[in-house]
Amino acid sequence: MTKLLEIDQLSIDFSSGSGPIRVVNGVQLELAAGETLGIVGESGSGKSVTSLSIMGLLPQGLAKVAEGDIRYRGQSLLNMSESEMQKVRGNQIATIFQEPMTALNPVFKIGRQVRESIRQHSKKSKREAHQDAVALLGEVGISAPEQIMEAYPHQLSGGMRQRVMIAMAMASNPDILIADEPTTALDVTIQAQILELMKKLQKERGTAIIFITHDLGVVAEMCDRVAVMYAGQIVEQGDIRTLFKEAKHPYTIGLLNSMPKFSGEMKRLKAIPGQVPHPSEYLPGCRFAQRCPSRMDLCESIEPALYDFGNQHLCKCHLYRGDTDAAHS
Amino acid sequence: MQPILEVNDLKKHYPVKTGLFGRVTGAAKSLDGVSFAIEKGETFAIVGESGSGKTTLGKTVLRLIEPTSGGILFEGSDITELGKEAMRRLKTDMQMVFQDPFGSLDPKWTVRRILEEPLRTHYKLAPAELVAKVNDILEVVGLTAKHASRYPHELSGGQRQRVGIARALILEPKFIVFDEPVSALDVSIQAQILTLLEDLQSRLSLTYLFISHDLSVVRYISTHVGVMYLGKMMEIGPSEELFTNPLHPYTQALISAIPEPDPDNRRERIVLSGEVPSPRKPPSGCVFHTRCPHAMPQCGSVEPEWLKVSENRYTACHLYQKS
Repeated sequence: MTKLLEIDQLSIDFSSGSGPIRVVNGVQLELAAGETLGIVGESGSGKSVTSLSIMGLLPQGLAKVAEGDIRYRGQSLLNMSESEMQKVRGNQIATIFQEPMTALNPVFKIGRQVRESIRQHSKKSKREAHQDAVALLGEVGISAPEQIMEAYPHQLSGGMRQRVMIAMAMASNPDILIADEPTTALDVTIQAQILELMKKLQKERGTAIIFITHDLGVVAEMCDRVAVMYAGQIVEQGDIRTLFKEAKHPYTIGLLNSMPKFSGEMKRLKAIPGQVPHPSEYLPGCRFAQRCPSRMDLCESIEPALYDFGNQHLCKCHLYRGDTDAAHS
Repeated sequence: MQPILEVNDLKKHYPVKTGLFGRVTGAAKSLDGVSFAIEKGETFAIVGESGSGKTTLGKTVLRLIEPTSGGILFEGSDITELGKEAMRRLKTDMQMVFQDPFGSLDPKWTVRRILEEPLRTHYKLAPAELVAKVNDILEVVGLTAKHASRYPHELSGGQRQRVGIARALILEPKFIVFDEPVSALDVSIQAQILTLLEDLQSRLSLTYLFISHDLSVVRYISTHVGVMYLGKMMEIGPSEELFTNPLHPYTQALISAIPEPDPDNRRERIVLSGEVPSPRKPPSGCVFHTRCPHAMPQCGSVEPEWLKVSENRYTACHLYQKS
């Protein structure tokens, strides 16, 4: 079976005064139709850069894919021309970002922007597109769509703007929706509304979602599978239950322990000491070694392999070197 | 026991001006009759969404914003009447830590200068004493003397917040207001700062007013919680009780909206419809009635009274009004 999306040993370099810096290293991910894949990580983990590369939106001249491939239904996205890529971006893969204000044009009314996003990938007349836009805004839970069509972006609240962005992203009925921290800037009651909406649309349309976030609570709520990124690499991935209940990588365990939980017994938080290293300071071995409570002698010098625990549960850590076969080294 | 801080019917109204000549046509009620008390050693958390007035409350309590009316009693004496000089002296007892440490630290100053500044304004110390005090406080917040020569941009977010905390601590205050101190930080760094705040509190017997939108953080750090919505207090109680048995429908909805890091706990939520109304035109009656799943006819017209429901539990909701 051809996978919907495959990210194959992807590495991304940023250019700097002292030569290229590798910010994403050997990322291997698959996305099946209709599933929700979470990518979690802290600042500087490379999660957003990875998502931008799927869309072919890496800042030109600053960052480029150095190695690996990204395939959509078996076809390489990296070999496409800009015009081919534009078609994919409009039709099959759509994105929503954290701050919809920057993605919407402040000088045009909402109506015109939603209509244009519809007309970009269909041969509809202005009037048809207008009707579709109204219907679409209704579908994303905007109660007076005709009125909102006449509003400018700054007149809407953050939650409303995110609904408009989702409407525009869904206009082409994409196979894949990439959501990069879509609720991070919203209040918690509005976040709950947007998450419900995304679940509803996914159920109705069968869209696969890549959900990029730093919030493990949102991941647990939304995702079928999760990949945990640290310092430009995937350190662990697996289905949602396995990852939350049987996490193997010391970083994943550390993240779960450093999050205050809302229910259950109150335990003192176990913080991970230190901070995420800068890409120019990565050690040859495991990048988490300096902060790791289970560090061994070989960790700082030898890069750990990715060990396979079955059922797509992978973990990149020397602790498991005797237990199981390496999937990739 | 006398509370360390007592806030009585605190109001902050901003004039709403319209038209060419800026005629005052109304008031935006950022704070509208807020009352609570904090005992020594407690962490009183204020939770609420954007527009709830929680940040205004934090600043008004320290008179960084002047209240429109109401009383603020610190250790029993009303500070709203104090003159500039007396207020300046009070700053050695009451301090504030902000969300964005970068925005609140002067980028042109080294960490040492940032930390010496409050000492220079309040005391006359010999240079050697200044150096020693700064080095001590850096150690208290988990930094070292070598950080003293750095500039804010050379530090990570977590380190900058440690400097922000050190600056608040250096005058040895009794009471600190924290405004979203960990919201801008990554989870692993957030845990470092939260545990630091806990340790400091017990070591230095501090009292905290902790403002946050994150209920998981609040449950972890606080002893008492006040829930705000549109400038009003909705509910107050000891945190564990309030979170396990929320009284006000708004508190219930807030708690229900928290995504929990447990995939076995995907529960049905109370999803509130609509958005927070503008504080310029707050709804009549109970300010929450436009979004409340339990709204009754009187809620739109009659403002609910502040009720004592049980020992330590207070709420403003018609559901608990004895008829």
